[in-house]
Amino acid sequence: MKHLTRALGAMMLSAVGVLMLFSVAVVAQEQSDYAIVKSYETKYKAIKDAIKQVQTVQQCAEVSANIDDLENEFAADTALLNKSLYPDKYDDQITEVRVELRLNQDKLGIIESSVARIADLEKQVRSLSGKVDSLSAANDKLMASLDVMSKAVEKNTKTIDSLNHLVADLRRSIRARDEAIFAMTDSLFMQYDKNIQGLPDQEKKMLVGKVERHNVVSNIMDAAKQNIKFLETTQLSSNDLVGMVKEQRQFSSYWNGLGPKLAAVYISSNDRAKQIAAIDTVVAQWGRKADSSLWAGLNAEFASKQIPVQPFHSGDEFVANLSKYFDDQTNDSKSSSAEKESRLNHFLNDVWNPSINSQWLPTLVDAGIITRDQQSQLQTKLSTWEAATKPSHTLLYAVIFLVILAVVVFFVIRNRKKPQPSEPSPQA
Amino acid sequence: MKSLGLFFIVFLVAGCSPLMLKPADFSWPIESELKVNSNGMVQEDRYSISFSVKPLFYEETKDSTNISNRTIRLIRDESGFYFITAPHFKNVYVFSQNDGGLSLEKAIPVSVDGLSSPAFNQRAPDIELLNGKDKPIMLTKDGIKEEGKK
Repeated sequence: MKHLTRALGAMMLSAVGVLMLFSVAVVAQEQSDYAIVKSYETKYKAIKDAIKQVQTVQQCAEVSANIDDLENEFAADTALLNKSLYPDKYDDQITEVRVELRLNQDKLGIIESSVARIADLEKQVRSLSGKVDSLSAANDKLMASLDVMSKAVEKNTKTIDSLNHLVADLRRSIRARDEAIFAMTDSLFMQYDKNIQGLPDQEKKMLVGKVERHNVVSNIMDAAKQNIKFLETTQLSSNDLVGMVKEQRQFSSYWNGLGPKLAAVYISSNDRAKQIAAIDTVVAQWGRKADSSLWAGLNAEFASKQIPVQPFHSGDEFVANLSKYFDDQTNDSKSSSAEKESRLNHFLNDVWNPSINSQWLPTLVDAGIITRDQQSQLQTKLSTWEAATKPSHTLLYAVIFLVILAVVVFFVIRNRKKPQPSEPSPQA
Repeated sequence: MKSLGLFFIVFLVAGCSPLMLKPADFSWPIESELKVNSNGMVQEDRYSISFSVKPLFYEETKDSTNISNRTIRLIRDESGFYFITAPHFKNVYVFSQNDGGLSLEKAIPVSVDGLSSPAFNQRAPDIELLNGKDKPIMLTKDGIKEEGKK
């Protein structure tokens, strides 16, 4: 019987939640006052019914959040509601449900501060869920514009600036959406005990309801897929490519923490378990795609400038192959000095200074793709190449000094050899 | 003598005019959606009012037989006039309270094809008529209020 009551409670709460969520999607036409009042009455009644069914702290928190939502939703209509509701006015009704909930909490021995903490988390979940939805919609629009503009760029190079702006906007928006998804999921799971498997069935059901209501699984899947599509559609700069790899690793790390929790929640649902496994696959695919885009971009930097560094596909390979290139150049005994110096200057001026050292290396280190030691190792190898190719500065300074010294000595000696003009005799 | 007679006439007229309690506000904050029962009656519980709508449906559709379970929209304005319409009606009907009944003051034509989903809003001193995505219409007991007119 108790189980039945709890199940009814959970169903009731879910119904209220759904009502709250869908209330945002008001038809874009003028609403009649009657419709507003009826909508309020339906939601108010659902809350009243839910209060009677609450059994757990999470259920109390959800009802509390629903009351807050109800107040927010009808904040602009309080005058209308106060005039229209009879016999109890709107303000009386809100006070009444809050008191009723508090009395039920006391009856169940639930502490108000726990309810308030969980209710705050629930409010965050709802707000982030709305943010995820709006960002997802915005991303879809941006992605569609990107497709159109990419085609336009092929025909007209003038649109490149607009395309770059669009890519930057989309990237920012995708990142914001990804962060919102995981923040929402964190807030959602923080309402429950850390040990998801040990949760009572009822709480697990309620958690499943919330995970479903906020489309957690499909949002994560969509996010991973959209990131892959973004990578496939855009030509990114070095910073963006490294940034994408970094974001993929963060996403993957979040997902590695969240996936097992979701699997524990959906232990009895084969379909959902399959979806969770599918996310694993897509996240891994995204990782491979991000890595390959990154290494393709970096390989292209060398190839486009005819620098014969062996192709690489990982951070370690990159460091090893570039080091080998530096060693080969340092130990090159076949080329003339002029050729060697020309090669070094070309490398420094066209690849190393404008791109590799100033853009790629700092971001690769920052993203943890190569270590600071590896960066230093490359710089040391390059210095060795430079030292072996260019005359040392000390020698140059010595030569300059000797030349100056020779000139000074020459003038001193010349002045000494000049015959002194004889002074005229005083008699003459 | 003449002025004394005039004084008496004024006194008598003033004494005979009905007692008026003013100002008064009869407006309902929101409309009521009322279902027609099998007897052709509607009942508004909050304001304790019930009346037959058979003649109204006959006036609008020339058919008062199949009206059970149909709904009407009813609202009262500041001055106490009742505004009634229903889905598929082409008119809004304005009634005043009379001896044991409601008497028609005006039928206001509002839609050529009939209203699809009418609703009234109280916008004292006027009544606003909504119909789906159509532009809202402001009504007074005398008809449609023209834009810009107060």
